Amino acid sequence: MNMPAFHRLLGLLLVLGMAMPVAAQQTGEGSVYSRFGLGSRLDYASSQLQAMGGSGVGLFNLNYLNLSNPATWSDQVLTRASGTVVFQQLRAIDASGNTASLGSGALHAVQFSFPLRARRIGIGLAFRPYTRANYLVRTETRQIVPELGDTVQTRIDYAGEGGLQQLNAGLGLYLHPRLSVGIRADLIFGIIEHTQRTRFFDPELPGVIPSGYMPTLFATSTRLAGVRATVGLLLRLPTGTQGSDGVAMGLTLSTPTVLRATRVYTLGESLDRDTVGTTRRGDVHLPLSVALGVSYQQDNRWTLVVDGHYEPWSRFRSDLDFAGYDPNGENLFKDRLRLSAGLEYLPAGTDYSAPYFHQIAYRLGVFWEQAYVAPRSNVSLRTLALTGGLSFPTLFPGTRLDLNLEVGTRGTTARNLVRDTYYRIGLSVNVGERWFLQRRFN
Amino acid sequence: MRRSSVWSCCALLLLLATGCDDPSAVGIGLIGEEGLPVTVRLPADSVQITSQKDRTGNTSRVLAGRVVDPLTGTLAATGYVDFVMSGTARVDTTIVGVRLEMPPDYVYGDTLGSVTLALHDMPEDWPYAGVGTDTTLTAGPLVRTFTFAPTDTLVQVDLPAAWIAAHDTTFRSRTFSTSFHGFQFAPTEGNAVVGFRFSDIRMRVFTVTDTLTLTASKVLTTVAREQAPALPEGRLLLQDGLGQGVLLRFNFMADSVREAGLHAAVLEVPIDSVQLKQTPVGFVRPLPATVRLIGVNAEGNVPVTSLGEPIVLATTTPEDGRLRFRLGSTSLQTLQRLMLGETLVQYFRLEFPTDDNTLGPLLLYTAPTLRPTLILMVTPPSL
Repeated sequence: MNMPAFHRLLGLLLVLGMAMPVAAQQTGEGSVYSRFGLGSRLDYASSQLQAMGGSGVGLFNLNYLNLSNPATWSDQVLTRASGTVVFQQLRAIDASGNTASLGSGALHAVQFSFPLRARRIGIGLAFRPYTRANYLVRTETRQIVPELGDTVQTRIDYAGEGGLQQLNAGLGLYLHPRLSVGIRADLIFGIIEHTQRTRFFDPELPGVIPSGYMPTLFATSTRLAGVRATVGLLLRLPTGTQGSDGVAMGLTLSTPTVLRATRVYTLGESLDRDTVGTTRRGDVHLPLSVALGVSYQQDNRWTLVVDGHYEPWSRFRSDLDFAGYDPNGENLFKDRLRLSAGLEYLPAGTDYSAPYFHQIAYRLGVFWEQAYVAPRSNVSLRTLALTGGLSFPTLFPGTRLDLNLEVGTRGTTARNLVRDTYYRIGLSVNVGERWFLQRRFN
Repeated sequence: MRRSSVWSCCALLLLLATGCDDPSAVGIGLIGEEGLPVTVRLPADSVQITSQKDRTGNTSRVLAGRVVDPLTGTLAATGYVDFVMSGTARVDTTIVGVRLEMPPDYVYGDTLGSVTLALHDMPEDWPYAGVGTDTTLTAGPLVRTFTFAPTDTLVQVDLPAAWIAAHDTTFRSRTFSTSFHGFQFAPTEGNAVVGFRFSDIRMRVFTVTDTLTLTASKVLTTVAREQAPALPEGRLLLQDGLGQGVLLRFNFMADSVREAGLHAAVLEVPIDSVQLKQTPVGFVRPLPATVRLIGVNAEGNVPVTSLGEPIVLATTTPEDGRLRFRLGSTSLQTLQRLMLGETLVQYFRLEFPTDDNTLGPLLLYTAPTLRPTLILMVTPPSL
């Protein structure tokens, strides 16, 4: 790749990185279930795996940094940078048939990786979401206030913003032709904010604010930060004549960790907020996470992954309360289970002279998830989704543009709950280039 | 398909993904409606009379007379009026007469009888700006007394020939405005205080050939209470013209309002309008046209915004047996800060605006159940 082209792609990543958080703040709405706990749990392994069910603990691929298993980072040739933005459109429906449509867009993940020694030792860095709270529920009530002699239209917006991010840094190490190991430090941090904005309007003149009424904005902001470690193993069992053919099994374990939390209650708008009550501090204990996955690759054309994730959130402990968790009372947290499978077909394989459409990778996947928090006791929150995507080659070898789609449903309308139907579109830029070449003189 | 077509399709998909938001109450069952605003009543902790300077200089009217009110006691009002001659006006022929013309626009007392006032010269210049109603000014010799009915639409007072002759040089002087100091109107007889509209008070100077009209340049009213009120038990008298105010203190740290989000507020002050309406035949006791609510700090000063407006300010008119102050946005913001523990103002003061000079009385209740009460629409904090 020539440098101007590389710079253009890096520039695109930067623009995406700067523009998307702004877009997210302007909309930032999603499932009401993200009100519970620390927000909706998000997984992101790579743009390839995003289209293949979302996970691939047992998959190694020279074109992508696989965040689900640091052991796969040992197998790198090019220096890589990638960025992913995700747009989501969600439609929620309740038992009465009432619906809400919400849309949002956000920078999802940024990755950077390079080999210290090609296909032996690789370094990976990533910034990606761990949880996200982004919902908006609006109530409108015609309120008669006899004490004030008024009738007003009271609008209350309950909204959630923010979430936990994780900053990953680690390395993968080739130990044996069949075995790689990896270790990664995960800095988990972020702010989760739940707000309640109350506004008033003239009931006869929509949009007109009655005189003598003042809006309020209450916010509960919880800042959390902590570090955990993730170790991974990757075992490769060749099955064919080509080196890349074979079955691979991966296993990762993320340690339990403690997030230090600080909670502040405020009243007022963004730059004019007053702290109310006292600031609360405490520890939030995250459970361990175990993932096991198997992949099968044949002829550089077919790739199959099957994965399972388990996180025992029933052991979650916190000094601070969250929706669904009261340190001294109700605990609706459950063990999280996620199962996924995916398939990739690349017609051209490694034939870079094949027609363009033969060099496009076609991906398909499915996942099922039981969320870590139940909105009602004895009701599990489950998500079932189909994923798919296309990976477009570019003029520059090692660089691809991925377009992914996820369509899913979450929850139920029973027991005064809501069912979400959503689709997400992800766009990723994956840039690969050979760096750190040693100059040779004849 | 060309590559450019592929990227166009991608862009179209992204645009489709960013659809419009249509939030609704779907999912409210997962949140609960704990946040609906509620109204809270916050009675005043203390209600006490305070004294302040009531300024009547150059207000809209000047008062004069004495009223013996069976409810509020006896009040005597003395008025002062000065005149100015315009720069071009000249008295250059013989003065044949001088008349004062004063249109009444306010009566407090017996409207069936008559009122007699004594007209005195003022021997020297007298202050009016910043002067309280309890000021005493020394008057000059009596010019004459005059009697009129309180219901007259215009009171005319012809000045005696001796007074005209004594002031002939003054009228012809180029320094009339500085050498003439006006009149005092002192109560003599009658049972009413009458107000004369400042802007319409005239002194007409009749000469052989012309009539000169002099307008009032300054007015002042001083008021003295000559007999204490006879109030029913449990009442508090707040009367205009006497430099009175009522200080109200509220406990904004009460659990019901502390750190709550404030949306709207009304201060309701019950008044005993039944007692105020009970008057002898022909006796009128007008209520104050306007009552003002203002915030004062611990030092008794009025904190103001960067624009110079008081940070708590509202006005109202007595109606339906109560004063009802609706607070505007600046006042609401101040109350919100008080509810968050700040002490921008210490008291709320009820007082009468100084631009409307009356003797209007208000009877407030002192019983705890009828105390002034703030009605606040708030969202309780969800801590």
